Amino acid sequence: MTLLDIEGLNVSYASRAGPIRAVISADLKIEAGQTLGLVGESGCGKSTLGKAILRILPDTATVTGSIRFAGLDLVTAEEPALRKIRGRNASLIFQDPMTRLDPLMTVRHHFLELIRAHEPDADEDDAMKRTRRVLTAVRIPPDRLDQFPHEFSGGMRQRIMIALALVFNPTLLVADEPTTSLDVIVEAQILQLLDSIKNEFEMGVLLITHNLGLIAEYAEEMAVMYAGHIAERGPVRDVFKEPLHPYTKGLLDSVIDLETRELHSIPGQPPDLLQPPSGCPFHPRCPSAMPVCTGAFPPTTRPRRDRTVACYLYPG
Amino acid sequence: MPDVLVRVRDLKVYYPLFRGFVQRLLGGGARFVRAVDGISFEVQRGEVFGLVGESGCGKSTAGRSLMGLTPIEEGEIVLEFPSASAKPQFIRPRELKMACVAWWAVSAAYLATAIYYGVSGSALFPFGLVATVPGPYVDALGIVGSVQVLLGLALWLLRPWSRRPARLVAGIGAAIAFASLPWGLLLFGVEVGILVYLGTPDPSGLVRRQGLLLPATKFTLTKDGILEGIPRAEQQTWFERWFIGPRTVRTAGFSWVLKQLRGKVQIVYQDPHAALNPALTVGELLRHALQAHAPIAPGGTRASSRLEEVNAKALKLLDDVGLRPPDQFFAKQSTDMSGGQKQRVVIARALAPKPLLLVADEPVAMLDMSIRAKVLELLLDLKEKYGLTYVFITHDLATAKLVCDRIAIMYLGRLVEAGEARRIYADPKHPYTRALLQAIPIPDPSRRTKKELPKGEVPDAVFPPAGCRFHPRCPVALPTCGWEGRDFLDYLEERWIDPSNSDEEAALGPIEDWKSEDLGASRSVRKGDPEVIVARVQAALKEAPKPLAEAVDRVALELDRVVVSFRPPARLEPKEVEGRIVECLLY
Amino acid sequence: MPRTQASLRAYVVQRLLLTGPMVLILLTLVFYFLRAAPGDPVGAILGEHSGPLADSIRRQLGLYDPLYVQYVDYLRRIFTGDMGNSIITQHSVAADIAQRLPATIELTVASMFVAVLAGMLLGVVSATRRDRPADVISRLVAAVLYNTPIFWFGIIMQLVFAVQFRWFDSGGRLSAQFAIPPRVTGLYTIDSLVAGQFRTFIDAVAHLILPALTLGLVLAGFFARLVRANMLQSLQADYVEAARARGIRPLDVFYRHALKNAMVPVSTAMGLTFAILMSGAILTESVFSWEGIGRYIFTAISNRDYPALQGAVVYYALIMVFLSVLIDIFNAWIDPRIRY
Ligand code: SF4
Ligand code: SF4
Repeated sequence: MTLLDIEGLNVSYASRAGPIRAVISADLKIEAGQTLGLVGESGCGKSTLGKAILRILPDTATVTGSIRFAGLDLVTAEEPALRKIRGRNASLIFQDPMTRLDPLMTVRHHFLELIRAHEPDADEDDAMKRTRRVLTAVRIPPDRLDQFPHEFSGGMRQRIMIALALVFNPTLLVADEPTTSLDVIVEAQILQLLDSIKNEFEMGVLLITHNLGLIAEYAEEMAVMYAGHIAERGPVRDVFKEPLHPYTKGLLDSVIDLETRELHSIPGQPPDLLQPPSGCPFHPRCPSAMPVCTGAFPPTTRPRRDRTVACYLYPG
Repeated sequence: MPDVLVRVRDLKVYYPLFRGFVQRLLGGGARFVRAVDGISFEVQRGEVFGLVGESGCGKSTAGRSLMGLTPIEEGEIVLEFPSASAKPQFIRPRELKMACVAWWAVSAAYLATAIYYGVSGSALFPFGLVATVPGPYVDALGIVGSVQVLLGLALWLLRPWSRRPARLVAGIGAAIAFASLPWGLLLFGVEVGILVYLGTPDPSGLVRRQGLLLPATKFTLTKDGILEGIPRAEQQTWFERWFIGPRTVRTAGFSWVLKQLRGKVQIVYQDPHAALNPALTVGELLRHALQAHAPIAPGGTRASSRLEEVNAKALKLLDDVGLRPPDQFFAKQSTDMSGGQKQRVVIARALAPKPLLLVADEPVAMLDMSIRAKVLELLLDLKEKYGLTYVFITHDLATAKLVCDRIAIMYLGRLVEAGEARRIYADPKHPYTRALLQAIPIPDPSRRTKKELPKGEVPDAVFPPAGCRFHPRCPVALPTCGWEGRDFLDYLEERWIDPSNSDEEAALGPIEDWKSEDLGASRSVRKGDPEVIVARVQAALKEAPKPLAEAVDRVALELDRVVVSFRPPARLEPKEVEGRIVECLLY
Repeated sequence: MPRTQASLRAYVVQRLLLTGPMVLILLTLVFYFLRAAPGDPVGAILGEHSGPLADSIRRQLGLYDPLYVQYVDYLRRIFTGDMGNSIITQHSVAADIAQRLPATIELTVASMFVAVLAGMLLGVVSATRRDRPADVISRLVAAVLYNTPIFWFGIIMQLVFAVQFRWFDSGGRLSAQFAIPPRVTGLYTIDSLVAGQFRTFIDAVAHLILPALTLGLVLAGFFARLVRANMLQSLQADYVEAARARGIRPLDVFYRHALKNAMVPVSTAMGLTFAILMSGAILTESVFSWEGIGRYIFTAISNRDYPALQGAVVYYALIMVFLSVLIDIFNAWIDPRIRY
């Protein structure tokens, strides 16, 4: 069952130097119970895409296209309808857990506020019962409910964020670089936790990260973003086995892991978002660039089953 | 030529924790973050030495301490460099000498006036400023004059070291002179002149007025500051020998030793965006760095203070770090560059003083994956080209494996395993090293495995665990690894997360009622039946992980408290295991 | 994980313990500055003569004693509540101040109310409508208010509302036809209500309006800028975005998260504002013939009435200390990170 269906999504920010196109005609689909890894480097638009799903972008952003979720088109939906979805049908967890909890509020209050926001007549006992249930799921001792965020370690705060996201059994969880500011061991703990919760709660997860290793370990489907475009999409195993897009190839080569013997990198610099290169934005760095690449953006094609690529190397 | 460049012995670096003074009165004195708590290692010439660990393990502090940037609580760091030229360089601070002479001349005029009036009672003031001089003012003139002479002397004697104390003396003089207006106006002028002179930033950076500069080759960093190897007694002024002793130069105030050290040891930080002043162009940044550390020729002028030469060097540096064409980058503002390019500028700047040791603190952690490898390659190339030695600090074991010859793995201020990188990666011995290696994600979806991860997170370095610091998380811990009171409480709390244990929580809880003191944990029995509590505790311990349960000495009733006490931990010492040092009781 | 539960009580105790030394330092500073000021009180009264009369007065005032004796004497008197007698009126300074203090408190509280209300309103409006016309206008208003000299502003208010429109009286605390309500707190507004004299209350409020607006609006400029800056910061905070992502209503996000967090620095600054308020009170009270401590200080300065001046300044200093303790405790109450 398709949980989330994004089609032709565009997001651009107004700025003094002109509009910045952060996401350009992106298509994505997430099935229930599936993890989609969205990978890309800083400034490629992956975070913007994640926030666009819940429509919590700043006022300077313009969104067009369609995001179908829970029977609604979130692009055209009104604010009250969106508010019912946020935190209830779809939750978002962020990169830096240290700053995402209100420092002046106890953990208990965070939960109470959330539950009351969606169910104004929920009584406190019932709310606390639910809170205990999700805290147990993320292994936070419920007796610490009355402490303030600064009294928890980074990993615990991220667990609290996850617990907050789970209160209403959402069907979709957007995790925006959930472990980037954490240490490797804690990172692995949190991702294993997310993985088991995903199965337990039967959620679809959009895992946004720059780390291909995490995608390989925790995602089933993946999409690669470059300069606002989705360059390539497909099942994780296939993409890792046979990357099609030259950027995906370069990215996979430049991963440093314990078995790396030689260093590889992609030549050139990441694109300037204000003045992206014409045509395929990757052409200044692409080893197989052709004259046609500088003209128009390549059409998205389907060279293999379940795979899509936007590159002139794979005509229709 | 020494083969060992850096020798660190039992280094401890503590940072005081800020606490309110009443808390300090009540809570038993100051507390410290034990960032580095007794580590020893050596760095060989020409190698890449990796300091690896999670955040808060003390790796950055250890790296920074090599530059004399941290307080040292205990232990020492010895850095020994091959010397470029053994001859000390002398500089004549001629202008300052002349200024001091002028100072004395005016002070002497002061004194003479005072004496004159003291002898002759009253007469016309020589400069015709005032007709009669009342008695007390004559005394004041005498006192001010004498003090000024003494200050002049102090200024003269301080001249070889540093501007800061000299500036202080001149400032005090100026203040005194000003206070004795109007007679002091003239003196005040002279002193302000000296102040301005001392305060003017030296166009070539380093303190030009220093009496002598020696190409130091050996630095010893200890609690007392930097001991510096070379100055032999005969090369010091008598004042140096008299007040400072033959070899010691403290860090504070005598910044030139530090400057010498900084010329030899440089650091590259993690965040290139924060490391570069956005107001300057790349060329200016490099020029500053080059001029600050240029060698000084006899006579006080710098060998390379000429602008063209400096610029040529800057261009060469840019070319070396791969920013080509260099003249194009030379004029760029750092804000117009990408992260990778900025980091190259940071590296170029670090290379400007021709260092021998480069501390690279997570140099690629902030960069995008697709350009990391480039910067790492560059660092390795530069190492060959400039004959550098690296201390490479990272949290990423995979990167460390690629670049390091030897590594030291740190956990909570201690070295847990250190030795040749090859051996450690092939067969990690310490449980923590194993955990770290296992946690690294594998970018191969066909090899997914379930990981056995240590639980919990790195504890607070203000209260490190007893015994082996890794014991609360260690999957293979022994009963002797350092179990203590709070481990028991953590166990209870973890246990009570499960609703099935809620009756036990009702009997023993809440956790706030428990107190942990070193090896024991205790709870008052005023609430509840002591027998029941003891029985419950014993039941909980039965289900506890074996090492924790076996480490319990006894569960007993003492007065009105139930006490769970643990056996003291075994002594933990670094041991040599298969060609590396490991600190673990398994060996 | 060590449990270092931060307790508010420990913080309050610590803060109160620190107050003792703070008061002492403040009193010492007052002593020193009044002694270091040029001129001496006796010379001020008797002109520049130095005759036997002046000498005897100086002896009587203890001006010939060594400084430390004067200092100890000064502290002893303050702690026994004896501030000496005014040189000009010969009344007890303590009694004079006790009589005028309520007037000042009434004015200060009313102005603070105006300042906080207007300042918050302006600040919140401009922060939430950043760079839109409403923001530009309220920033302009705030800047103008902030830079207006207080006595000038007071005179203009008098000219417009008292002389031109005759809506209010130009000065005093009560019109002549009303009797002063029986003293309970000394605040006419409260006393008149206690006594059930409703019309006296209306009159007292009417007299309060102009001076309170004058003083309050000038401070409001300061507040508005502060609130705006802090609101902008907290509106962009990560936890605000996170709360939005959880579907919390915008109004709740605004009040519960953004405003509350912005209030911590604002309330700290409020302590400082009281100092401005106090100095503003001197000018305002003079302009509006408000018989409070500000006016008392003003007269004392013009007459070089040292005991009176010293007494009033000491009072001000003590009030400031008291307020700063209150505000610190308030801050610790909302922000747990301050306590630790
Ligand atoms: S479209 Fe052209 S430039 Fe872009 S990735 Fe494909 S080959 Fe390279
Ligand atoms: S000494 Fe070794 S076995 Fe014991 S806790 Fe530490 S690492 Fe684990």
